[in-house]
Amino acid sequence: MADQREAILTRLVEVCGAVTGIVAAARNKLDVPGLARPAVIVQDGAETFLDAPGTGRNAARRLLRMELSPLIVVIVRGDNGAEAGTLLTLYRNRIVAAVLNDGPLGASVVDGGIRYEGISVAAPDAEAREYRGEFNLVFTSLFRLSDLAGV
Amino acid sequence: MNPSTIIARTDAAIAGYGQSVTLQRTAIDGATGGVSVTDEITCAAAVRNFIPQDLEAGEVQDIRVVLSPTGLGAYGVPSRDDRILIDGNPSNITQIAPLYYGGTLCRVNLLCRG
Repeated sequence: MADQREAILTRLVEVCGAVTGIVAAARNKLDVPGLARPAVIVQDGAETFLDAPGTGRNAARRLLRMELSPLIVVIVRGDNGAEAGTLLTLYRNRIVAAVLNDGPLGASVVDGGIRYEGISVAAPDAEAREYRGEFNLVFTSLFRLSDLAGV
Repeated sequence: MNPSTIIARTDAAIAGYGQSVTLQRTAIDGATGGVSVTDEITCAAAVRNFIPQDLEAGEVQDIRVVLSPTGLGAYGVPSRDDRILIDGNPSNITQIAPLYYGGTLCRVNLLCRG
């Protein structure tokens, strides 16, 4: 069984970058090249297990459910004619819809395992025109430690 | 000392160790967030990067820019809605400090991030 972590993260960046209106997407960066806006940055975030792996001789072969929680950061420019909050809501909606309707991402998870955990918008920087909304999508996938032995 | 003397000295200093930058006035599409350039001007500026920023992860850094009113012309004092291209790389303008002497604009200090 292939490790789903990298497949999910790679595809997530592709899906976010293809959302209508998004100009640039990047992974694990502080910003996108050229400060292109609106932009999405996917931070890999945390991966934790849902099922305890246990111990014993066969623990490495046990099939576990893992939760991957990448942080999706939407960056827009606002204030001169554009309400940044409206734009952040717009792109949150589009990104969540695109992810939930994406075939490869749907095939990478189990138990219908894509969950939206809410958005956080930071207080605006008093000295700039950049606005960021950060939200987590949680992907539940299957994992077996012994599969990594072939890497 | 008078405003024209201060401006002349600023021009001379910028000519000595400055470089060319482009200021862009931008507009945001309220429906999509798309950014468009509505006006721009290329002028000479003194540019200095803040070295301690290099200790931060990533590519973003703070940049101090000094402009003379001579180069700004009809463009006027930049605003925080503007962007500045330094060596072709866009930065946001986070602080603007126009300096006046006797009511005449003599110099503009910018703090940029990009």
